[in-house]
Amino acid sequence: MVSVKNKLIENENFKFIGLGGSNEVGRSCHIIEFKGKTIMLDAGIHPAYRGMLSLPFYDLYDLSKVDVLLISHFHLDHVASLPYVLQKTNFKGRVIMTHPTKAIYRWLMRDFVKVTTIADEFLVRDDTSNLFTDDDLINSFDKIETIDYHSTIEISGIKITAYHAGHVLGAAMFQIDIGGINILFTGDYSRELDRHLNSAEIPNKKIDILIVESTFGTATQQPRKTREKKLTSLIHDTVKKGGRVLLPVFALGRAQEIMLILDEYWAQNNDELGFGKVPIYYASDLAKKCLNVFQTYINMMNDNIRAKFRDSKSNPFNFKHISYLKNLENFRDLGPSVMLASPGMLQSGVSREILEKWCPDFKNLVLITGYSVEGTMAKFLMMQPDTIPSYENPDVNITRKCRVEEITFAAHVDFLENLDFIEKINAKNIILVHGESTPMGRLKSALLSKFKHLKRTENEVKVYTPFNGVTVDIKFQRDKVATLVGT
Amino acid sequence: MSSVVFYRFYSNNPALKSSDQYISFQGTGITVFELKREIILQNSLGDGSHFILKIYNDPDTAETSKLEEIKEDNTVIPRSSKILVKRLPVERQSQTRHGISSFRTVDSTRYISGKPKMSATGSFQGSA
Ligand SMILES: [Zn+2]
Ligand SMILES: [Zn+2]
Repeated sequence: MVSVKNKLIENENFKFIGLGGSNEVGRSCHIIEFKGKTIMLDAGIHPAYRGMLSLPFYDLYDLSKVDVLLISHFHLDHVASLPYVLQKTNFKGRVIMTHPTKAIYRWLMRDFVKVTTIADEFLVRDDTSNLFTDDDLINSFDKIETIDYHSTIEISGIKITAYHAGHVLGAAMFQIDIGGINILFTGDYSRELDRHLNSAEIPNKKIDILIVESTFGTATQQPRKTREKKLTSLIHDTVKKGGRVLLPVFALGRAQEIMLILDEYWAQNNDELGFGKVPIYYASDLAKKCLNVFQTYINMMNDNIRAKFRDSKSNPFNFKHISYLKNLENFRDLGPSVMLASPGMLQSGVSREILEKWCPDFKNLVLITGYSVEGTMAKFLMMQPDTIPSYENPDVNITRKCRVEEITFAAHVDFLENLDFIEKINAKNIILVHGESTPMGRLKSALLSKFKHLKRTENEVKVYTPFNGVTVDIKFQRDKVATLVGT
Repeated sequence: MSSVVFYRFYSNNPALKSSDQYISFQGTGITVFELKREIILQNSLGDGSHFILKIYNDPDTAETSKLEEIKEDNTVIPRSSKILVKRLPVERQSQTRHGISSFRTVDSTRYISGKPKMSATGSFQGSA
């Protein structure tokens, strides 16, 4: 007699806990636990809050348990609380990011602790909200290890591989292999080819759990070409009529892409716009300092920009028609011009100063090209308010007559790109992060109806949209092992 | 006479001097309500709408190493005590009223703009 005995070898639990960036955009920080290993993804801050309020909910978790912290890219909502984690908590793990992310992080954070544009973007530097010092920053820098795209690092049995994510220079998706179960964390990612970056890749591995951004939910974007055309013609029309254009941007990343577009357009319309007729300014000392970082890592960008660099033998980020302003002191506001200035969400600093100066005139234009977080001035402006509060004196209201437009170059996937990517990854478990509740909820419904036919089959797809602090539990059953018993 | 209660945020490294903070007050003890209010103000945590502040007995001073939340607003914390503080996400509690289910969020605004929730004894866990 032969009988088959089914033996369940192991029943293993995967846990996901959002400390930040779950059902919100900002302070990205997630913990994953599996087989006794703990990985932390990102350590950001929330741009709409200040000081300790802007931090992820670090009290939710015992950070001394973390084996490794992976940083997806240099945006502050993904990296800016790293010095805090390293210096103020009992985190003892290793920290990994790509080379360009580390190089830019160094400059960004130096700026961040000083009283300059980016410091103003997120934290006010006074006694109550100064989260870390220059020393903290320098110490944190030594602890960061780097990873190359397409290379794998093994840390206490966890295998980590980095892939291109598009989005900004140095942005990575991480594929994490723990004991044969594969997790993919996309970070912020984009799938369209732009002027300087590679688009996000599809890892050639079977993925069990996908942790994916949902910023745009089910919204779709117009084609890239259409958006570029809209951008340049809006700007051209405004300056032609004697108006000024303010483009609030985050100092590094998408700003460089916008400048590549504008510089090219100015060259094509040299007669009307060039030779200083309509100057373009970039009020960012930081961006100027990071010019050589962009040049250093041109080999990590796409073929177009590499060819451009090879042919001209000059740094393609050193623009012909754009001049850098260190600050506004030597800015002579004499006529139509285009001003790129940070912070990107207009909370304070140079972009806010220009906004307050230019917004009473109906001829002027404020053009928002990035993603605007809930609770920021940029988001408020989009509602076309009659007045805006003055930064210096919030009791004073300034009339707003200027035009406000939004054309996004934020480099996040739209619904169709995200759906296509998710289908190609083909994971049975999908955890949505980096999205406000409404768009995230819509994306969840859309995904569930897309995968409806798999319901109650072996390949059923589960979609999770946890809030911060709510744990997602996923059980992995090792395959039942059939043993032959008897003779 | 001025008294103090010491506290530390759970995520702050206990080995660092800067992790230890304190609230000073007059008298022999401070209510949980007052203490939470002072901690929120001292750390510039705004109107309390973006988180829940919870306090716990300090494991160093407790007999077991288990963290025990001190829940009642009118519990009095004796001076010179050491406590642990956690800033946690707002909680969403589902509720059903007239057959319609919805979510109610629980945050810490009452410590800034509201009144303490009174319980009968201040030492037992009451449910409101
Ligand atoms: Zn980003
Ligand atoms: Zn982001």
